[in-house]
This record gives sequence, structure tokens and C-alpha cells, in this order.
Amino acid sequence: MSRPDRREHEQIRALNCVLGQLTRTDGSAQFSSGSTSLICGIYGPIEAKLYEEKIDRAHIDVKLRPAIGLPATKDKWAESAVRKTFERNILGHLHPRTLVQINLQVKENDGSVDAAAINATALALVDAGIPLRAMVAAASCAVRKDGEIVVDPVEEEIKKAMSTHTFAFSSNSPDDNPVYVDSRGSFTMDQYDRCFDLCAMTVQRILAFMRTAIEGKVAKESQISAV
Amino acid sequence: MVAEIPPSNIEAAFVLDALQKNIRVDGRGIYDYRALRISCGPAPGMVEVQLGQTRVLARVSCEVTRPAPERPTEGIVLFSCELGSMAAPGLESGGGGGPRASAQEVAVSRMIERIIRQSRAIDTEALCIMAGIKVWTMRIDLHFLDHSGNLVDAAAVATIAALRHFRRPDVTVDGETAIIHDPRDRNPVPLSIHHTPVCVSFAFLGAAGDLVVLDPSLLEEQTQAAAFTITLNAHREICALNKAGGVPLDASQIGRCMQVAVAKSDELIDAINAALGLNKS
Amino acid sequence: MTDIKVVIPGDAVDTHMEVDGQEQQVLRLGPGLSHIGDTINAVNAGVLHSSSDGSQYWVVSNKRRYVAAEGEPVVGVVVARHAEGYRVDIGSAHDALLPLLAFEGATKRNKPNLAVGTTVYARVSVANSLMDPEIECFNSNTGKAEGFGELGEGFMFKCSLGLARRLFSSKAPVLNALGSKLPFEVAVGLNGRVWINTEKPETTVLVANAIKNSEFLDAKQCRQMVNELLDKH
Repeated sequence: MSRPDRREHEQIRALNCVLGQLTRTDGSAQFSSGSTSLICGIYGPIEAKLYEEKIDRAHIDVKLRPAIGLPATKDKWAESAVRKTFERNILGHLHPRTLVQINLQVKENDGSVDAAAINATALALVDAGIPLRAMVAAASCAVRKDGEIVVDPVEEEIKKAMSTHTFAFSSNSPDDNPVYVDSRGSFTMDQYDRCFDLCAMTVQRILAFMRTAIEGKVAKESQISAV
Repeated sequence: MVAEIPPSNIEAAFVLDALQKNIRVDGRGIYDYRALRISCGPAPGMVEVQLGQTRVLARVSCEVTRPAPERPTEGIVLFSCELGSMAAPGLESGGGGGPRASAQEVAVSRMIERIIRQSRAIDTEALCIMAGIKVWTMRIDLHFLDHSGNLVDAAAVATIAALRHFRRPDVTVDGETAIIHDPRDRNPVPLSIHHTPVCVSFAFLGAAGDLVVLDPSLLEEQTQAAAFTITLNAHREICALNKAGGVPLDASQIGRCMQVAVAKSDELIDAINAALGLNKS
Repeated sequence: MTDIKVVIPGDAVDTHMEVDGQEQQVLRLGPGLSHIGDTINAVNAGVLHSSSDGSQYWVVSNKRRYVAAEGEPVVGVVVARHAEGYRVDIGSAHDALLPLLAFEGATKRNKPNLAVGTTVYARVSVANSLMDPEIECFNSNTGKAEGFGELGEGFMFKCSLGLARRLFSSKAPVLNALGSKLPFEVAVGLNGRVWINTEKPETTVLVANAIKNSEFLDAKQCRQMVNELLDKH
């Protein structure tokens, strides 16, 4: 059975990103995978509200707004996915008593939006120059009713899927240990392992894409400053 | 997080000094509009507008609901305006008109709502499927992404362009049942839009408000003594005027602004038509 | 120019610490690098630099949010006045404290009185992550202003920290190109704020826009851009 957009099972949608297009934020990135698209704007390190202030590290605040309608449970879930993924990855102890504020705006949601939110945030954090332990990227896959596993599913595939899985990996985690796992639906351990491997492989490709994008930005800036 | 600090004294003083000689800080003439870029799609009813560095994303969506009992034959139009910390540091959104909404968010959202709803830009009766039972509820979500002045003009262009870009599923009514066609079976249909209102904003600076600029930048907005917005459509009809507070203005200045606004609104409407792939009318 | 090594967060940095067959005892890590576990990792994206003897490594990256560092000149705006000093916004997470007596020749009886909204050029005297930064408008060793103090008439604008750093070097192509054509005063804050003043507002606007435009231009393009602006002027 073919996929709605005629992709191969292990093929992700076209990736695209733009770094630093917002002028008021300290760093920003737009990330899209096919028609799923988000923009992330980051401030930090900035002054934290008194009740949020942490004496030994920076407070991480994540806000995600859906493209249509008011924030609902699934948007709160995506916020927590981003916060949990980056809370330990940001070197918050370098900037105690401050706030790193992550603003995410979904432009279009056509499936795998949690993974795209993590990817957009990773790029925006780099653009803002927030110190990071490593690069992080995420990918999703879905197990269809016929048992086939498809990567980067669109909304239609997610609705019909038996289970969906999102994994985030960091660029230097030992033994491919994931930094974030979210599995929903009913699935066998074998299916889980196959999803894990497929997402781990996909994340490597996304990390390579991110590296190219960031190197392009740095080269553009450094070529000038070297003069 | 602390709110944004106002411009420093020397910035504010320089804006006025330069304007005395008809010079604007970003090098524009006093009646120059910043570059306007309108990107439509990929989804229907999705339009992003960039006015200089100001960015607004508009999303139009629809669903089938029961009509309001007092208006059984009219569709419903909902607005949601989101001016939060994405757009500028320290801003907090009330999340679509909540109690924490900032004054600025309320002002922009009221203005847009007024020009679309009260000027009857959308034909709400055409949104009726079955009187008293089923109507379309249109939802307009406005997301401000980057605030560098004149949000209203950018938001107005985004809203009306998104409404005209939107396509709703086709419906067939057969006696007591209404069939909503899947977009893949039957081509979705555009909304019935009566006219295309656009906003043209001016800022008045100086203690007496005697220095006027078109399309104020953020710094000019922060130092303005009064603001004035004219809403016009392609037929050169005035849909709304807005001068909320500020110093009193000379009536002759309003006349001059009106002439500028007529010319600018033509350009804005041409830009919208071009972005929607239509030829000049 | 030697080859440019671009690093992104998480990249392990290979620090060969041998000089003349001798292993270096001390390795200094500058901004953008951190010792995590057994390796030295980049924590920011940027260009890796090292000193010729291989004892110092750092990453040059561009940011927009300032983090105060001791000794750096900054342009700040007074936001409040307290008994012990002024609170000054310098764009960092916390407002800086400017003591009332941190000016040239200031005494308890005779000291400058700054209004809220005043712009000052100052140097960071205390900066660490646990305390609010402190700034001063004089050199505390000599007691002389050395160019620091209140910034009067003129205009201030913001730019990226990377551009500010480049402007601060005496070789900044855009400032040289402008300076060879017209006179102007400039104070560059490494917190990404630039103050300029000229005789006429139109010239100030021209200089400000030329500096802002130079963000992604090299020396030759800077000269060309400045000439084009001057022709229109």
C-alpha cells in the first residue's frame, strides 16, 4: 500500500529551514518538513520573573501556539516535549537566575509536529547562541494497520495508525541513547525496536541537514569578519 | 520578565529633530510605505505578510456549527488575535482576548474585527447551510511574529488576503440533509467577499502632533503623540476611521492624510490582488 | 588566510597540546567551549580559533543578547535612580549598577545628575553570573573619564554583537570608509549598541544606515555601499 503523498516508507519529506529571520528575538529559526512548518523565536538569557528564578541555573520556558484555535492539550504536550528535551541539553548553569524563553508558532500542522517543534527549537537555540551540550534532532514514525512502518507520517497516516512514535537523539549521546521518547497506541516490542532504529537513522540525516544550515550561516558571518 | 523599556531620550529627541527637516530615521520619505510582501499558501486561507520587518501570519479556517438563535440564517465569524512574546520581548498575550491581554493586543484585534465585521466584508448569509440548523463558522487566527511597527496595516492586509485566499468545502443540500463534500471529490469554493478593506496608518509626532508620517516604524510609534488609521476599500469608500486619544489634530491634516491614504490603499489592494494571482482590475 | 574550522554544539574539539615535544600543562578555554566529561566540546556554533602555541582555544560566534564581561565598553540607558547609584539597562539579563561616584572627578557634593532615559558610555567593572553587573564611567585606576560618560545629542541604534565587535576594531571597513568622506563621532558598545553624532540629522541617518547595512558586507562591498549612499545624499 502506498502512502498518501507517494513517498517511500523510509523517506522523509523535503526539509527546509531559515535561521535568524525574526528581528526582535535573540535567535529564531523556521523549520519545515513538507507542509508541516513551525517558527521558533528565542530570548535568552534574559531576566527571569522572581517566582521563576532559579539560583543555580537558567529557567526554561516554552510556549507553543497552534496555527488554528486556542492552545489545547496536544499543544501543552508538545510544549512539555520541547522543555523536557532541552532542559538538560541547555547548559543552564552558565547563566543562573536568568530565563531562556522559547516561543513556538505552528504555521501548518500536517503530522509529526512534535518532532518538527524540537528541530525548530534546536536550530533557534543555536542561532540565539544559547550554550548547548550537543545538537538535538527528532523524528517520528507510525505503525500502520498492515504492520508497515512509515517515517515522518502526515496527519492522515497518524489518524489511521495503530501506534505513533517520536524519538529525539543528541549528536553525541553514547550508544544512540535517545533523549526523548513518546510512543502512543498499541504495539509490539519488535515494532518498537524497528521504529527506534528507523528514527535513529532519520535523525542522523536531519542532524546532517542542520549542520549544513548552521555552517552556512557561520560561514556567511565569518567570511566578513575575517577581512 | 520586564516589559520593554521605552526609547532613550536621545533617540526620541533625534526622531523629532530629524523629522523637523522631513528626515526619517530609516531613510524613508514621510509618505513612504515600507516594502510589503504577501505570501499565500500552501494551505488555503494561510497568508503571511511582511511589512518591512513586521511579520503577521493569518490563518482562516471553518467548521459547521449551529447558528446563533437570534440570527438563524447567518454564519458566524470569530476572530482571535495573538500578540505575544514571539513578536516582541516582554509582551504577553491574553490568548485570544483573555483577561491578561495587553492594551495593544486588544486595540489591534478590535480594529481588525471592526473593519472586517462591521464593514460587512464577509457575506455572512452566504455561510448559511440550513437556516436555524447548520451554518459555517469562520475562524480567523492572527499571529504576530515580529513587531517592528504598524501592526494594524499588516494585519489588515493579511486578514483580507487570507479570507480571499480561503476555500471552504462545497455543500449540497438535499431536503433535510446537507452533504459536505470532501475537497478531493469536489473543488472547494471561495467565500463570498463583498469588498477588500485595507488600513493606512499615520503617526503624528511632536508636542502638537504637527509632524506626520505614513506607516510608522516601531521607534516612531513609541514616540508618537497621536495615531490615525484610515480604512478604505477598492471603491475608495471609507470603512472606518480611528483616532483613539492622543493630542488633538488639525482638521486640515486629516484631509491631507485622506488623499495619501486613497493612493496608498490602491497600491495595497493591487499588491493583494497580485499575491492572489489576479490581474489588476 | 588559514582554513576556517566551523564547529557546532556537541562537536568534540581536538586540542593538541604539544609544543616543541613538550606537553602543555595548562589549556585555556575561551567562550563557546566547555569541558564536558572527558572531552572538550563546542557549546556554540561559530569559528574555532586557537593561539599559535595551542594553549588557548575559543569560538567566535554571533549573538544578539549581551552577557556582561569585565572590561568591555557598553552603551546603556538609565532606567532608575537609587540612593546608591543608577540602574542602567545594558541589554543583558540583569540591569547594571552605576554607582553615583563612578564618574571622573565626582565627589559626594559634586556629582553628575542623570535623568531616567539618559544614555551613557561605560565600562563593565564587575561581571559574573551570580551578581548583577556593575559599570563605571571612568577608569578607576587613573580617575580619568577616558571617553566614558553621558552621551549627549546624537542617535543610538542596536546591532548584532558580532557587528559591534567588528566596529570596535580600528580596522572596521565601514567606519574607515565613512570616516574618509565625512566627520562623525561614534561610541561602540560591545553590547550591540552604537551611538553616533554628526552635524546634521541627515548625515546621522546616513551613517546609522551605512553601519547597519554593513552586517554582511566585506571591506570592498562596504566602500561601494558607502559611496552609493553618499551619491544619493
